[in-house]
Amino acid sequence: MTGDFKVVDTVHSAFTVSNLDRTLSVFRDFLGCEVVVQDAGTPEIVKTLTGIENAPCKLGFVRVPGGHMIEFIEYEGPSDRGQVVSRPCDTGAAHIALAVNDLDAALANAGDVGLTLYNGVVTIDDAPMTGTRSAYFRDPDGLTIELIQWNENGDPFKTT
Amino acid sequence: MTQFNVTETIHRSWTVANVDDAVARYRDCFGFGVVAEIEGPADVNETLTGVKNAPLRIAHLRVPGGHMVELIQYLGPDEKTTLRARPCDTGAAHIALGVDNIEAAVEAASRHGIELMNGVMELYDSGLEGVKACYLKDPDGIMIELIQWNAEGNPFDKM
Repeated sequence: MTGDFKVVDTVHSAFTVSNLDRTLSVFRDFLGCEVVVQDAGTPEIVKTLTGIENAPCKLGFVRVPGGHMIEFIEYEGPSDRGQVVSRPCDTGAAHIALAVNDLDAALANAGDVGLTLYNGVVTIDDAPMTGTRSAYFRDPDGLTIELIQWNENGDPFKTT
Repeated sequence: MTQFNVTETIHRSWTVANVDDAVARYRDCFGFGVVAEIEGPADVNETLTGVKNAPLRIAHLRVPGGHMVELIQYLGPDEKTTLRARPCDTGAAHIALGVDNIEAAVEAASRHGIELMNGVMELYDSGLEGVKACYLKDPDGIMIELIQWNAEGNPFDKM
């Protein structure tokens, strides 16, 4: 029961980053996303939304192939802002999963753009997912990006 | 450079303390559809993440409009913790959902333990007059932004 409102769509996923330009260049040049708009967030808006004072920020929105939008936010305050140091097992840890057509090519070049493989590559051997491969990467800010290469059956959730 | 292409976004994922509680919260409050509930073997997860002794319970939910959210409960290891990120901390994440009645959504969310972080913002900029947004936080620390567009709809659809 959702009461008298509806969720109509997903507007974006978001990550806070330490260097917006660096993140945008990785997502544009390496992952093929389109940088749609760059903007600034005023401290007044940030305070109303989050309760955090003295926090102007820079915003960048990228469109992933397929249409999903990602927002990256670089906070320029407050002075005591920190860095989330997470392992995937920690409650609240987040990642985003992107489909790629050639995981080996992504693996071969990820290090050049600062993406580090967490550990290894999983190859699924359960039908109908047999041959689907996946790997977790961490960027310099600690953002976790999963890259998945589907087998010839494609995304199983498309038909679910 | 060897060429590859990203072809689509598959999901946004969070680790949660209890997957049943989290699924109920997002299904009943926000109308997410439960697509699959599966178990993740510890050996597969160790290959992927390097975390040992961590079998998983995984749920895949579909947000109205089509985007998928994955919720993962780690059944190990013993020393896992709970993150308490603020939005200004590097690495903090959120997902933004479009709603048709933000005040009703905030009320409903509170009944499910998803609390308003501070206030509801309203925009007055040309073209965005009347657009409202707020941040919520759930018991696992997951941050949800709600956005109610004005009659013009989502401006990114035209960019």
